[in-house]
Amino acid sequence: MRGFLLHARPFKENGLLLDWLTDTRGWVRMRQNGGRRVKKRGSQRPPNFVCLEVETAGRGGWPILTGAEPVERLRFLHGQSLAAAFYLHELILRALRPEEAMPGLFLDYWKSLAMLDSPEMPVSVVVRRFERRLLEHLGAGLDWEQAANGLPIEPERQYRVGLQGGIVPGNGANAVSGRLLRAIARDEALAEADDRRRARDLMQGLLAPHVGSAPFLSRRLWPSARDSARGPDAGDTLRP
Amino acid sequence: MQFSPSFQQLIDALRCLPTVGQKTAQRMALHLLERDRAGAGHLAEAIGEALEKLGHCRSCRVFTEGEICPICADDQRDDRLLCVVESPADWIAIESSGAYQGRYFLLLGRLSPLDGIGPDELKLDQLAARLDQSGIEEVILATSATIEGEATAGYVTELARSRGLRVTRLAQGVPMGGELEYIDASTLSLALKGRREADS
Ligand SMILES: [Zn+2]
Repeated sequence: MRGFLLHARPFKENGLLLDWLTDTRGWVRMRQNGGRRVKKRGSQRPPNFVCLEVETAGRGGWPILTGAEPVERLRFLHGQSLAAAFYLHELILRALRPEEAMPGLFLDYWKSLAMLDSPEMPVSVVVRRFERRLLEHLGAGLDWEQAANGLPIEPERQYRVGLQGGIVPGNGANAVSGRLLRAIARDEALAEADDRRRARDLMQGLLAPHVGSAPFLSRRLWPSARDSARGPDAGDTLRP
Repeated sequence: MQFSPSFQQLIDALRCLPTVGQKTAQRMALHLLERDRAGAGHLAEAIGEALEKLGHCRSCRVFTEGEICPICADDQRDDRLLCVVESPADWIAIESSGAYQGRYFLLLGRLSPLDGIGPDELKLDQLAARLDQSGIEEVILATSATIEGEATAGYVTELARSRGLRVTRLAQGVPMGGELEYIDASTLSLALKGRREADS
C-alpha cells in the first residue's frame, strides 16, 4: 500500500501514532514502535510530503509500521506552502472516516503537494483546487461551469451557490461573481483580494457539513495572518 | 496478588515514570523500602520541594525557584544571542553541550494544528514581547526537524525578522524528524557552531 504521512503524535515511550492517507484504504492509523528515536543514520519517523510504500504487521488494534520506503524524491515545504499543507491535513482528517478508500483524493493530495512545491504556483489556487476536488470525492461536487438552469456561467453575473440547489443566478450578501466561479472551476488565480476572500468563504461554507465549522488552526500559522493587511483575511494571493 | 494499600500505592505512583512498568515499579518500591530508606526519604522530600518551589522563569520559561532563573540572572552571558528551543529537554541538551553562552527562550511545545496547538496556545505573544526587549541581535532557532518544528521556526522567523533581527538555524547534523533531546552533545555543539541564516 502507498501512503502519505499526515500526522504523527507521541505514543508510549519513544513510539508514534501515525495517521496516513493511503491509496487503497483511505485514512489509516498505525503505530510505530521506537518512532521518536534518532539513530546514526537519521530519525525513525517517516518523512511527510513524500509518497511512501508502506508495510505493516499485526492483527487487532492498530497495525504496526514495519517499513516505509519513498517512491519519489523527498519534498520539503516551508512558510506558506507548509501552512497550506497543514490545512489540507486538517481538512482530510476532519472529512474522512477511518479505512474508507478514496484513491482519487490520494492522487489529488499528491498533485497538491507537487503544486505547493512549485514556487510559481499561488498557494490560494492549490488550496481552492483541493477543496473543490475534496467536495467531489465526498459526493458533494458542483458543476462549476454551468448554472442549475443549464446555462453557462457568465463572468459578469452574480450567483448564489448552495449544496442543494447548485449555482443559481441571484444577488445578496453571499452572492459571488461568475468570474470567481470560473476561476475556481479552472484553477486560476484571482487578482482581487476581495474575490480571494469570497472564494475562501464560499468553499468554507460548502465544506462545513463535512468538516464542521470549528476554526482551522493551520490558518493561524503565520504571524501576519492576524495583525497585518497581508494576512489571509485580507486575501493575499499567496496565503491559504 | 494482594499487597498492603500503601505498598500498592507506591508501586502505582512509580509507574508514572517513563519506561517504568509494573515489574520495574515493584523492584523500585522494594529497593526504596528495604535497602535505601534514607534515599527514599530524600527522594520524597526533593519531589515535594521541587513541586512546591519550581515554576517557570518569567523571562525564558526555564524551571526556576524565583521569578528569574540563574541563566537569565547571569550577567556573563551574551545578551545578543537568544536561542529558541521547544522543550526543557532540548534546553538541557544545548546547555550541557557547553557550546552556547547566550540566553534562551523555551516554547514549551511546537505549533501543531492537528493537535490543537496554535500560536495562542503556545503563548507566542510572550516571545514577541521578549524579542521587543533591547540587546538581542540574533535569534537562533533550535526547533526540531519535524514539520511542526519547521512551522514553528517559520513563525518565529517572521516574528524576529519583522523586528529587524538576524535569524539563524542549527546546522546539518540534526537529522530530519529528529528531536534535539535525542541528539548527542558533540553533534549539537557542531550544529551550533555551524549555524546558518534561516531561509524561510
Ligand atoms: Zn530564565
